[in-house]
Amino acid sequence: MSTSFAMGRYVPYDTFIHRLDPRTKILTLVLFMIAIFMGQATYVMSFLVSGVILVIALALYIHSRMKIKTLLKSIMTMWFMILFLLIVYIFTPRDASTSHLAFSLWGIDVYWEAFLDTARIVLRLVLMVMFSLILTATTRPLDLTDALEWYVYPLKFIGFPTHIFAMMLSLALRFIPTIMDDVSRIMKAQTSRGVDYSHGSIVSKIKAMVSLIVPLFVQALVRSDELANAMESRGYDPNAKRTRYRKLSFHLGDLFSAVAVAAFAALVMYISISGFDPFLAWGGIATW
Amino acid sequence: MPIAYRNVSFVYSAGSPFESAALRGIDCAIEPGSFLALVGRTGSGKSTMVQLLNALLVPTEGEVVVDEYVNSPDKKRRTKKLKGLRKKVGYVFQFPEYQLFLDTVEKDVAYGPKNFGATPEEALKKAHEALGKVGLDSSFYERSPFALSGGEKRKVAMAGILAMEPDVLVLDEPTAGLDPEASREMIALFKEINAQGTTIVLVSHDMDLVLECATRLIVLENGKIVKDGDPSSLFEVDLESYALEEPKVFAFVDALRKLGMSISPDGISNVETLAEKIKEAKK
Repeated sequence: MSTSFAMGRYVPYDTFIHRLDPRTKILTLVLFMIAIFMGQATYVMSFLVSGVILVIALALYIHSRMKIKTLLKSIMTMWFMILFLLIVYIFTPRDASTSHLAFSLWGIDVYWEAFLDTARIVLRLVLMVMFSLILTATTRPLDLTDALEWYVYPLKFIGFPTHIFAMMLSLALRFIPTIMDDVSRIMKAQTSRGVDYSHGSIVSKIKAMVSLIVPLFVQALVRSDELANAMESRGYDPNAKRTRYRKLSFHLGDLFSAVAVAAFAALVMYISISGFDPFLAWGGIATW
Repeated sequence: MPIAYRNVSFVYSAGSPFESAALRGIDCAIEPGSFLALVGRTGSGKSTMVQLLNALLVPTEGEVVVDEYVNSPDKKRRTKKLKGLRKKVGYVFQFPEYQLFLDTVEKDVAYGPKNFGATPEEALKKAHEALGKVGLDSSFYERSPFALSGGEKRKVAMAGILAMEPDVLVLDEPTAGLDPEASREMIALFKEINAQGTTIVLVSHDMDLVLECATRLIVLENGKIVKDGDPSSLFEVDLESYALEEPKVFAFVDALRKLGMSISPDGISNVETLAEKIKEAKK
């Protein structure tokens, strides 16, 4: 269980992606998300585009030196959602004249489209998870907040407290490892008292979770109180103007990456909006 | 059969950039009924060593054997059902008050025995006994553990482990953050439990506590055992090189020697035995 907690945790390697400006990384993540979720005219085209993005994602994933095992594990945890989506899609009413019947079970017509729809959405979710993992594993949480603060900076002019927002964000991120440590410590303590977190029925697992969650909340509240006191005793003023230790810097590599990803996203958008499909255009698998 | 560590090594986050070795080739046996103290600087591997004892961690190499239970990286040798081991080895974590979560003191203390198969009545009876041992009377039974003082919370958490009636009790910095009086009560309790036959493994930086209670001392440094012997041999150890503090009674003996009194540190473990020795020396 402790290994799954480390999923997407920042690992200080020195790759091209690690060196990129966090602002670039956030921008390219958004662009990739748009490309992933643009609807395509046909299933063939949709899987083709997702496939191309998958190749890019895998290349970036391996380049940022993350383990494929971590990815497979996180996909494994999605099994319940996949099943749920499949059931929803099976019961979605379809136009019988344009859909392809797979089989009928107890009077329910199950169409091939239900499986294709599920596969399409799952593939998109996996891609989304991959890009998010790449972002968090290659970017220091503090850099990430700095970048986000930079993006919301224009909102300052309409009275949005950008600094407080960034401080809240960085404190929340800062406490993730601390709380993870608490989780493992409390789990060990309760395991010593005979709690079994990994075996038994769902009911007993939920009961076991109570013994983890209550002390965790108590601990988190105590910590936040202590932190607030410590900040105030050092004279923290949320409205004061402050300088920063880290400076974000935008390099040529950032420009190149941003332009390349933007061009790719634009291409996907064009394909989507124009409804272009080479297979359809050249008389291929027209009806899918 | 005693507890045995056989060539045990442990590496944290093996294969990642955060990899760090905590234990390197530990070999030792712990006799039943002994009171062992593990000391060493922060990060020397003390906590890792005791967490291997009830299989909270699995060694990277070697094996830890507690009676019929085997904790080993080799899946064939490893004991599958660990519940019995967890009942046998009670582990009081550092700041154990963080493990409290139920709404009344007696329920929280009875939680451990219940997990190990006791009926609710039995568990409650064990809880009351354990609370009595740590010196909390029946007026505490119905109170919320969150409304207690720090020292009382610690006692409730201790009782939660004692109620499980473990054969081996692991104590990780049990007196950290307690006031001197509460510490003294705790020390008396540990001695009593040990006298009743429970093996105790104590992890501590408090050399006075170690000297007073332990019958055996192991000094860990960088994941290796560098000293294993009688606690009174602390006097010969170059304590400072292991970031340890000299027990206060020993410092007192040292000062007396400098003033010209002929007094030996043998057999001194607390203020009372020190006073005896001084009386003897004066004669």
